[in-house]
Amino acid sequence: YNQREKSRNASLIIQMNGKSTEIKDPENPSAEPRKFAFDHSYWSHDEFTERDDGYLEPASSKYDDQLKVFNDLGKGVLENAWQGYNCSLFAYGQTGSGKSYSMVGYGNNKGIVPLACEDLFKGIADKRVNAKKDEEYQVTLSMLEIYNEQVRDLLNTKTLQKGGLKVRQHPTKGFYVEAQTTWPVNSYDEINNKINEGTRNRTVTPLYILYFIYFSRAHTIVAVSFVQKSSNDLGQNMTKTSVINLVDLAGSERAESTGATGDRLKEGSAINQSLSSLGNCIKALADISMGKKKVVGNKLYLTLISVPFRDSVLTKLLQNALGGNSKTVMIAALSPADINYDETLSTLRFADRAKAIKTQAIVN
Amino acid sequence: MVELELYLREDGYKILSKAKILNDEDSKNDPDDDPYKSKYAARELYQIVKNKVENLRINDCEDELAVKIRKLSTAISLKLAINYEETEELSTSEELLNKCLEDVEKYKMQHDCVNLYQAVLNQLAILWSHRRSSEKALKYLELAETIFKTFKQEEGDSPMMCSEWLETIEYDEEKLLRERAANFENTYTLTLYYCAQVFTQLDEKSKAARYCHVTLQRQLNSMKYDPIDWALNAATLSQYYITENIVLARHCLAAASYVFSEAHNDSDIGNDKDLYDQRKADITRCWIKYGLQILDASKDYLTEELADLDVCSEAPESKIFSRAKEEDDSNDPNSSDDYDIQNISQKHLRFDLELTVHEEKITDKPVLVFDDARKVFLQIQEWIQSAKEYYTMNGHCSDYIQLVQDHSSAFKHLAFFELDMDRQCKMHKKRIDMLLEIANVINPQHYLLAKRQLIFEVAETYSSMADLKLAKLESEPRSRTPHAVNKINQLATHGIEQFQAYLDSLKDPKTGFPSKLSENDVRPALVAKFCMGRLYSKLIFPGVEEKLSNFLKSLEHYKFVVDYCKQHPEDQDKVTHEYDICVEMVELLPLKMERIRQLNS
Repeated sequence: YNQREKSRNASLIIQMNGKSTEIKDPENPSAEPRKFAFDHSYWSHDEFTERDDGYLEPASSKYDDQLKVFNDLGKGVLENAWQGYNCSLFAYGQTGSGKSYSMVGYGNNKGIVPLACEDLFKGIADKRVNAKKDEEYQVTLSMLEIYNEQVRDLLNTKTLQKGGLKVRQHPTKGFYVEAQTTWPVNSYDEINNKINEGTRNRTVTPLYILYFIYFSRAHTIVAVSFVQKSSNDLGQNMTKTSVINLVDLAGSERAESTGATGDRLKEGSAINQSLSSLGNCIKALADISMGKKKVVGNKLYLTLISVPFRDSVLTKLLQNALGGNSKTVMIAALSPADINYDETLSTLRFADRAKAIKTQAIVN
Repeated sequence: MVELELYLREDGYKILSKAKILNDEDSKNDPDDDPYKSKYAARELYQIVKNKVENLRINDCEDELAVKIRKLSTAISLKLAINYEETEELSTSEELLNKCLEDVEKYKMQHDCVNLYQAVLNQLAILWSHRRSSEKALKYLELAETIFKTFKQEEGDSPMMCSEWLETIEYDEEKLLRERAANFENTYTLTLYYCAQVFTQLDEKSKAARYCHVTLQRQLNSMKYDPIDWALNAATLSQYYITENIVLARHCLAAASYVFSEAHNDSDIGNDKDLYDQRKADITRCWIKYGLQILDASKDYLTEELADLDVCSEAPESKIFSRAKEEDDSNDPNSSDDYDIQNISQKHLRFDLELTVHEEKITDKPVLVFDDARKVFLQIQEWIQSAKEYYTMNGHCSDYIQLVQDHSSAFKHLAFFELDMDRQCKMHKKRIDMLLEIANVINPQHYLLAKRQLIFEVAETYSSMADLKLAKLESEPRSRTPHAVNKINQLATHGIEQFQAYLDSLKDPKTGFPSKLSENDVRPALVAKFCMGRLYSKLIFPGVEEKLSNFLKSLEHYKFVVDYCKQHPEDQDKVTHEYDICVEMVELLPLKMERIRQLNS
């Protein structure tokens, strides 16, 4: 429980059974809890002990420590990168639910990001020992923030102009941000320093810059680009580029979803009070009609009709990452407390939907 | 009474004003680990005033002072309820709101109370929607609708604003009347807007659409809207109507274009100009979709008419024409109640704008002959070119690809109306050219899905062309030249290649072609196999060996479909039509091949 949960005498409403997570409705405690099934469900609320060096290790098989999470999720990400494929890692959840702990960790309880980076550089160092003449390995870093639909380069403060940076979609480059800066890095420490630097430039009140508490008003994207150059048997230059996107999604309760954007992170049945979100409501209607199936003769048609123009910058980014054949890992961090029931349920639903985001059907 | 007013003027209003600032403004800057700091502070202030006011009640009787105190207290309670709702303490909020209703139930139709009562009802709806109880929310909203309607028809249209309970208003009389009227209407508009949302939640699309539509109307009439937003919303609504009522779809689009032209084209502030250009292109794209729907639906309309089919579809496209006609025809004089929105008629949904210029661009009736179809086609083409000016290939590749696909669809629909086979083929050829042009440029790593879609469509188009040429051959035996035969074989072979390319794109680099296809891929993959089977059978070669080899390949592909469906019976219903044919062919083809062998042995 975090501070706020403790001060409100929160009670436990989350349970995990194998791969599924259950949540009880605090207003209907006797009702059947809702179940959500995922690829993994990690428990870190209790049943752990603290080692002398600060590392939190399992006191029973129920607890999932940082190493376990890394082995399950982080290793796969790295393997993909070595193969030359892209990968995206998303962390989503309410402030204080443990998002940053999973991604970055605290002290000796390193999260996926530092562990993966350390592993990557170790791998590169090993390769360099036996490297052939033309073999080269480069790692570069970039860091962006999406706040209020505007994109800012967190590593280049000169570009904090009005309107933010332009996001483009190029036929061969794919999705990219114009004039985005990339920085070469050679060790985890350098990555760490750069991320710290970027974090300081985030749109937040300066008082709260504590590395392990990420701020929830904006989405942050750290992109680690890994280039492997070598020459094959015929002497041709072969280059494999893979990008690992580490996305810290804005805390669900603070996502700046103004009326104009269709930021669907916080979707639920709650009425949106501002008329500025009329567009979203109409869009929801159009979407319901979009996937209409009709049967004509013996053929089944799926009619894709509506124009996708209300998608927020983040949604576009997500679609690019979730579609195609790049590997995606989504980590939804949950608070176990009853006072956060609405937010937690919203997070679970979001994760559920993300699981189901399939790329659009091809044709009839 | 005097004491109350004195308190309010000296202290009360000041405290309330401070509370408002805390709740609405300061709270935005609260730190993340104490996100409700300002709201808690606001709460205390509201409570202080409420307590003080209630203590000024002299005795238990319901005299003028007591009533006034009761109403004032209710107004503060409403603020408190909203405050509690914002800090996620719904039960307390609900308690407060229910008490509000109870306390002023007797006075709800009074000039100084009706707006307050409305606001409480709206808030209760919001609360219940947070609890995911849409039906309950709806109940309160319908009540709010009735209250508004009754007051307006029986009492007047500028009741006191509920905010007037909590602050002094320094307007002159005329302005005050105007503000009150506007506020009353606005509270009602919110009621309607919330209805729209709740109906969307309840999946009652038709009702939701009506409420959205009326909300748009009201925004227009009250002159309180941003033209770009309004235009975009109207265009989006047309995307819903496109599947239900084609007349309203066009009407909304026309209104969108009209209102958009009111927007400023700020060429100095970089970002706003970009937004302007983008929205303009977006509205154009909605028009494109409309045009395509006209052509597609007209096709169905004609097919049904000609074949007199008993169409067993869920919602035949041509219904979008008939539904619109039905509404137009109904001249029921009783349906003129402006406030019965759930049943509001098409006539009443028209926007109060001069839209002829925009509506004339394109029809809203089915097109029946080639010339009419061509007019629609040319207009669509114009819109596509216009949209491409913003959605360029190098800057907005995904959108550009969709525009190319739309263009291809337009040609496909037009080909249906073209009677001459050669000209049809020319249209299909254009499609292939434009689809391949973009397909060959995009990077499959980033655009995997788009590439698959494009290739699949190219394959289908080659297949259609081969079918056309074959049909021509069979209807005019004299046109059977080696050149013509060669052409058919070429087209069929290209089709096969493209289907194969599509199937190859499904392979995992490590494990090859998946033994179990993902849900979205099942139908296209099996259809691809099916089509390849058909195409192999259609190849025309004189030699026996070639004939047999092609039939063998054809058989293999048909067999794949049959085997896959046997292994994964749950997927069979996605391809029932094709499956049946494959089963037949798997039986017939070996016999056919045997006969050929015997004839030539």
